[in-house]
Amino acid sequence: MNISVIDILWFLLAAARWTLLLSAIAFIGGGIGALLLLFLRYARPNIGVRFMNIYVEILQGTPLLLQLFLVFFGLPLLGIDVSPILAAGVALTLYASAFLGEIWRGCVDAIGRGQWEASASLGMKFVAQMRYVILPQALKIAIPPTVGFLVQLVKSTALASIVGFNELIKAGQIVTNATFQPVVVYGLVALIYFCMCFPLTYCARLLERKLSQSR
Amino acid sequence: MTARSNPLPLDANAPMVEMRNVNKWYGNFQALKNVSLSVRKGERVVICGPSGSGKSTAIRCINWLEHHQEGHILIEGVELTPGFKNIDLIRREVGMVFQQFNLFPHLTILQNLTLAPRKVRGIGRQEAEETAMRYLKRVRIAEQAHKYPSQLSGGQQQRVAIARSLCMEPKVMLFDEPTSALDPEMIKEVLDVMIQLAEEHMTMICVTHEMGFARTVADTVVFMDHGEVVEVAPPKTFFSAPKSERTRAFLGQILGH
Repeated sequence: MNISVIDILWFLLAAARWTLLLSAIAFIGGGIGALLLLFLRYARPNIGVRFMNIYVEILQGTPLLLQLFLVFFGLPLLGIDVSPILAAGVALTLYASAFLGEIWRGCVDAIGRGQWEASASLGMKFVAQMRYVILPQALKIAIPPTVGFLVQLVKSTALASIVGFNELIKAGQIVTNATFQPVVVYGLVALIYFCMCFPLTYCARLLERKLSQSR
Repeated sequence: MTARSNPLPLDANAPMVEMRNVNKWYGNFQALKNVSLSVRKGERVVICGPSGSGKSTAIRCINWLEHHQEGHILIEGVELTPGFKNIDLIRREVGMVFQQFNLFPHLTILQNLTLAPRKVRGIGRQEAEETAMRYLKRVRIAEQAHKYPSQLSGGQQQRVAIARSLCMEPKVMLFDEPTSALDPEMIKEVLDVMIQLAEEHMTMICVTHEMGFARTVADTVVFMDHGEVVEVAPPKTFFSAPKSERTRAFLGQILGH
């Protein structure tokens, strides 16, 4: 059998698209989930705070791999047929909601009470306060840690290989089995991960620097 | 002033603000003890007292930033009750100026002024901006309209905050120590704006240590101590012949040097 490095690379790059797709699903789903948690927390402090705390603690206190297993083996028990991408998408979305929710909560908390009070005393309701006063300010502080988490998320998608999702790691295993060149293959896999993550970390650092200058 | 309606059953004949036997606790600490206060339309009330006397708490209860536990607070005859659904409707009528200005730092001065009229009252952008510029001129700061709050001095920021409240065309203005965070040379420019407002017969309730302002502008001076209203009097009587020993002690401290 004669498989060149270029062939391997093409095969891996094709699988990397799935890694990117899964990352995007988890990030967008997680972002929406986190935003819901955030609104719940500040709109209904009595219920919201407790609910968010429990949710965040459960998801931060258990391994992502376990969450993935529970979704993958649990959803079929509820009669839902799960494909690997669905299981991985759901698990990573839940996971990202918890982490992003917690990151963003910190950013909203960093906005002084005076901003809430001033907007309230102008007659603004909760949603308007969030949308026009609180979130625009929180967003600015939230960008660097959010991008940082996105990098974590991209790397976390590797776990989806275990439930049989054909992303970058899984593709690496397949190629290794065919070529018996683990070092070359996993070296290329590492390189591709790096090429996906480095621009993000670089952006985060740039934004952080820009932000600290503007203060 | 443009005509506008408020869906709440506001009673034009009722006092603008009325507090009856208001009690409030923070845990075991009683911040307000049986506070009663009635403010007529157009009346200018100054609340003074030592720090921790509950004067800020009292004023913050009036627009529900703090909630009282006992007693009654009425705005134009509408009572603020626990679980009050339409607090934003009350707050539209009650302007508030804070010690720390609390301008929105991510918006320009003009945007600070137009945000609530546009999003709360639903006024169009152009009209809101015209109104905003009118009030900015009144507080003598129109040339700063396109700057951000951080580019302005404290005194300028506080004048913008006053203009921002006025843009909602409130029926009563609350001032919570508006000059306490300012450098001495900036106090006058803010007081001048407040005096001008008073001359235009705005109903004002002002927590302040500026006794000169109280003397010249107020119709009524209220002295609070340990959460209680100790004395209510017109400024002349208040400063020349205070009835209570506690008032005399306070005035002695604040005017003594």
